[in-house]
Amino acid sequence: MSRTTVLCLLAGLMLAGCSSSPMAGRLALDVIGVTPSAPQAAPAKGAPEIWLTLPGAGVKFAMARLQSRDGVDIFAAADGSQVFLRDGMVVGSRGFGQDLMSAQAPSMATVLQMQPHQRVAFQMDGTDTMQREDFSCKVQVAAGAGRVLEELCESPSRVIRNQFTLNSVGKVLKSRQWLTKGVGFVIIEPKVQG
Amino acid sequence: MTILKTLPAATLCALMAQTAQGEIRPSLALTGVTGLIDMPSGDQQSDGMLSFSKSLFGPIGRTTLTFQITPRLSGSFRYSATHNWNDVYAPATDPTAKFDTYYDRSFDLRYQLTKESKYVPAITVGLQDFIGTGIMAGEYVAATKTFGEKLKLTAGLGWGRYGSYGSIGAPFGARPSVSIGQGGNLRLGEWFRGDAAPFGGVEYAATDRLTLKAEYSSDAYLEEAGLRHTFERKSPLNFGLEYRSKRGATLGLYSLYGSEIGFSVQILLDPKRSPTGGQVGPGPLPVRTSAQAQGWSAASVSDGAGLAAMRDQAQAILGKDGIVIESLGLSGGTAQLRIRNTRLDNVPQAIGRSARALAYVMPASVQRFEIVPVKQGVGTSKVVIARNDLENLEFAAGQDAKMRARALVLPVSGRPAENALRGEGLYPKLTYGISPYLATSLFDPDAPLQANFGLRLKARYDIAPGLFLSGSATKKLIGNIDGSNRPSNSNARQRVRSEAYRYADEGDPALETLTIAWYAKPSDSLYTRVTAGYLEPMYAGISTELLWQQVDKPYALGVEVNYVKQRDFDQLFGFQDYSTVTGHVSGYYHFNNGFQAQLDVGRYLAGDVGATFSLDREFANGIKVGAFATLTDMSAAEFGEGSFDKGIKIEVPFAWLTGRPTQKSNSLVLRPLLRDGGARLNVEGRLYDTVRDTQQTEMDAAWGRFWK
Repeated sequence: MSRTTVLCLLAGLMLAGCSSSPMAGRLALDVIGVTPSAPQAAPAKGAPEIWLTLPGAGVKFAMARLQSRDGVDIFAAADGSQVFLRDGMVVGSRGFGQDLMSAQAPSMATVLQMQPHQRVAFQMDGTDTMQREDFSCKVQVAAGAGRVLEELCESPSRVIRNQFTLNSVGKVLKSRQWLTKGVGFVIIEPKVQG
Repeated sequence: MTILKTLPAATLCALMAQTAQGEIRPSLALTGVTGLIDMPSGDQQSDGMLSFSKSLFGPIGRTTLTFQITPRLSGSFRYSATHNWNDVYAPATDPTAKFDTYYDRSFDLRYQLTKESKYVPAITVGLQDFIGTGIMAGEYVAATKTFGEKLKLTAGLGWGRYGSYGSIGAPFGARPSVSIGQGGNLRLGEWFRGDAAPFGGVEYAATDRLTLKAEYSSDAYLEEAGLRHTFERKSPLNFGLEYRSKRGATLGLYSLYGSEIGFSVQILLDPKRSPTGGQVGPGPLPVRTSAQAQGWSAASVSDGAGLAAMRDQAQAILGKDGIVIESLGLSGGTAQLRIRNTRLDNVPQAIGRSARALAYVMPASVQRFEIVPVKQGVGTSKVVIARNDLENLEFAAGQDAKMRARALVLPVSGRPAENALRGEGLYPKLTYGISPYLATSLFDPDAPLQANFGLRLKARYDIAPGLFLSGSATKKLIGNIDGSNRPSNSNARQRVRSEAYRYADEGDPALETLTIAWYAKPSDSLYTRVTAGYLEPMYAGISTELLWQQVDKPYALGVEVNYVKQRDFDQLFGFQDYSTVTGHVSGYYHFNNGFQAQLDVGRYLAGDVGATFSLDREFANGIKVGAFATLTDMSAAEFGEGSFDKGIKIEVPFAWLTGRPTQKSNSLVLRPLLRDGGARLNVEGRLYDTVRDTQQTEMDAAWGRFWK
């Protein structure tokens, strides 16, 4: 095969057959044809907000509370991605790629009292197969300045260190929590209004 | 040669966005299988891995696609080219004397006998080119062991090609000589026979990304170097270095046989690692509880106006996900929502989002949700969800398994209840669109890659549920597919497929399809289809099908009967003289580990009778890799080169590559040769493919996305 066809065949073997669904009555050039989805619901005006930082991706954005039910707050960003917080603990996410689908997390009181506990995380791999990860956790005071508690959790695959920064009265100001292998850590802090 | 009408895609870029996680991943040899440089090793890739490699040294180029079928079994399809084939040696008695470049297709299978452990090496036995013409044929047993964190040693014994240099004897007797005949035969009598020779090598992971390799090759290249002098084999020692880029492709540079420089590119696709990690974009609507349910008055619940308002509200929500409401019915405390999912690539996710929409809209008196996915106007299954479960499990750990345990998957009638309210503006309705297309012609020895690029217009007119007109037409803008170089030399009774190049050449503009189709469901497990018109680019006629598929069973049975007439090469409205009846009885089975088997027995387009067996490995994310083979009563002489029809198919959904919801997918069917035996009609919308993803077996595999 001539060398000039090297790249051509490379692309050629990856070329696609397209099975498209009908366009809704509009003449449109459809190269990839991925229709962007709009968020299902928007938070109410004046709803409490948080800052969410993804240190792995280097992005920080605001999320406002969409719903509060059963002790769980759902916060949504402008693009519709969501994070679920129970008592300040991340128990789920949506729209981040490899989402934390559900989790069994300790209460904040358990962490503040530095009690050992278990965590369970459910996430999907690339084949949409649910994987369960069990962690054994203990809490210690983090080295360094300031009131920071470190939750050290071990599973067969990894060791993670979640961190909780407290204020003078023992309330959590900021936390750094492990989401999934695909996303890494998320940093959550309240967004002060005004 | 294979002709595919395809769409250009950012597949390559998206694939290369997969970042490696820093393990010492087994790499590929120039032959495209897991190995050293030109020799194989005992390693295998991780389960489900699809790898593509392109290598070139001296006059020899190889392009290989390899799939890790199971954790221990891998299969490869290789297309190799040897240039300067007849420069030095071209006697009249040699059937290949006329080729400047000798092109060859080969299939490999490798099985790992032992996985590597502390004291035991990884041992793999391989069959190379086991049903091809035999030029690449070889068998081997290779063992690989890792020492420390960076060093791997491989040692092996080879036969055939791999036994041709430095032989230590013929432990299993003499090997019948290779005759480069029609190819396509399983030459069982050859395997592990003849001279055996040792080979071996070492790999050293100098850094996370850079690997150094050295090997001793037992392949003497008797034909290429010894007889034909296409290159000089001065030494059995090969050296190489490979660099794995951040974007996932590996590039290699090698010194081969003391005389040549070689290059390779390797790209790996791991279905367990999608480029974006999963779906990105808006999350679902939070579950609204009965306590906060909408306060519809009792009157409006029972009268038409109230139901219409509920349907419209639910449609406004579901429209954001590309879900169309076919009908909404209320009966006591049960709401039945029939949906057409046009965008989400996962059925349980569409059901989960529909359940949330019902929870948002329905009054507290409705506690039971029935969601019915509709395909081609026909209800295919019914998923029953208790509103309580939706509320209680929204934030529960392990919610997917818990919901699946409580949800029911039941058979359903094709049509909704009489008093159900239909979706608005669905019938009659015209939809249409224009998109670019790319048609490729591969494996023509004179020009292995040709392509046509143009525009395709598709339109569909839905008359009533299950009844629609549809068509597609193409206009070539630019391209070089020119089959006149290699007219069909088929000896078959009728050239039913081997003149595909003429259709591609003369069909400009081309009416690909123009049909009227009718889908129905006579009973809860019986589906029917009738399609009439210009069914595909080469044939027109009438196609009828019956499928028996119970919603909770992994198997199905179908029968299809078609009467078709061969179309003119210009793909317009005219016909050739040939017409025939074709049909098959088909059995389908979806295994729990993701393997899909299909057996079709019947009469093919050329009037030959036989069977096709296909086996696919399918992942819940929609990635499919499979192979098929057809044997019919058409003799090998009549069939021609290749002896029987075979091929591989690969499908990668766009949604997996981009993380955005869409039902489009990249699919590739690679047939080494397009001949006239074992040719089936390519009619769109066959029943099993239409309904399978809404049946229990496949929904169970995909259920992880119910709450997404």
